[in-house]
Amino acid sequence: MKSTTIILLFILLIVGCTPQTMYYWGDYSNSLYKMKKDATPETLDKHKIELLDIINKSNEKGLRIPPGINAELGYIYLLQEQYDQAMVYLNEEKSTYPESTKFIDDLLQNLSEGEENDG
Amino acid sequence: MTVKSVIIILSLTVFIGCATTISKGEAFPKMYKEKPLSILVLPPINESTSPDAKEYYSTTIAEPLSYAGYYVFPIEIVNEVLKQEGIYDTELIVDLEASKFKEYFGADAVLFTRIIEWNTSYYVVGGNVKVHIAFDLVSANTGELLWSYNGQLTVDTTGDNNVPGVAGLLLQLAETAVKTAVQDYTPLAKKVNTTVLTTIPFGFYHAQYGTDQSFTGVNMENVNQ
Repeated sequence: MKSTTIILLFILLIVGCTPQTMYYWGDYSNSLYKMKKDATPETLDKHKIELLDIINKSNEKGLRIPPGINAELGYIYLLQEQYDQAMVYLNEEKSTYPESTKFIDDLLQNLSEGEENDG
Repeated sequence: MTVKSVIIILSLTVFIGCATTISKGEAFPKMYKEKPLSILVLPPINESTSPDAKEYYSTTIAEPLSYAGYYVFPIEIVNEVLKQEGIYDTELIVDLEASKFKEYFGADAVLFTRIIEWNTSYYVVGGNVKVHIAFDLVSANTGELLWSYNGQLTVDTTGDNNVPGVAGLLLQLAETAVKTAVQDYTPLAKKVNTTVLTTIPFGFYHAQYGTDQSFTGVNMENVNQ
């Protein structure tokens, strides 16, 4: 009996070491790769859909959005001049990862300067 | 000899078998002292003969680095920002003070990656595809090297068939050419990343943050000199 307990404890220890799912990254790397290999509006659109899907699935699973995903989506909206959407996702990156604050604020700063110059 | 003692001896053997490696705490004490939270990944330095390697490799690194527990600055945006500043070749900024990355990006540490090999080789009757990457994580506070490691992977793409004689040899050459041509590099790069990143001390977002000093598996031969 005692050795069974030890074996069970040993198994528990090993199982306990298996990392929990931290993030849902979906098909991020492949979709980015495809976009780089063949940069077209279609591959960009697919990548954008992938980013949205990662955000949705992560929320469904109760997981933190992986680092950079909200920012990357916000940046695509920024390039597409959809500024309201861009702000939503860039701010989301900041609130999820406060260590990104300076980086995101600088991006937004450049954006507002750009807009002023355009106007 | 009870079942229990056999198990204990077996597990001891497993541990002793790992003794040629050292622990994360011994290998990278500065990481535990400095505890960087965020990592800025710079565009890879490409030493391979493949011009595409740089663009493709950078699609593979954010994910495994995040699983190690670090905040990874959005690589695509960082690359764009650097390009706008006229910097896309990390080779040009290797000597730049690391503190600049703290100043401009708010990063705690900067990851330099070097693609040493991203190549296809053919020899007389066979071929292989090889990926070899070296990593150096530098503190953006002190400029000191916090963690470094390198890893490589080779896939044999030699054709195999049972046809005898010259016909078989010719077939093998053709098979090798096809297998080598279709072998994609990024899956290899991903495996190299995963292996190498088992040696980085866990970051803040990892459940075992701050408790992995005793984890063994760091092979000193793979620590960059």
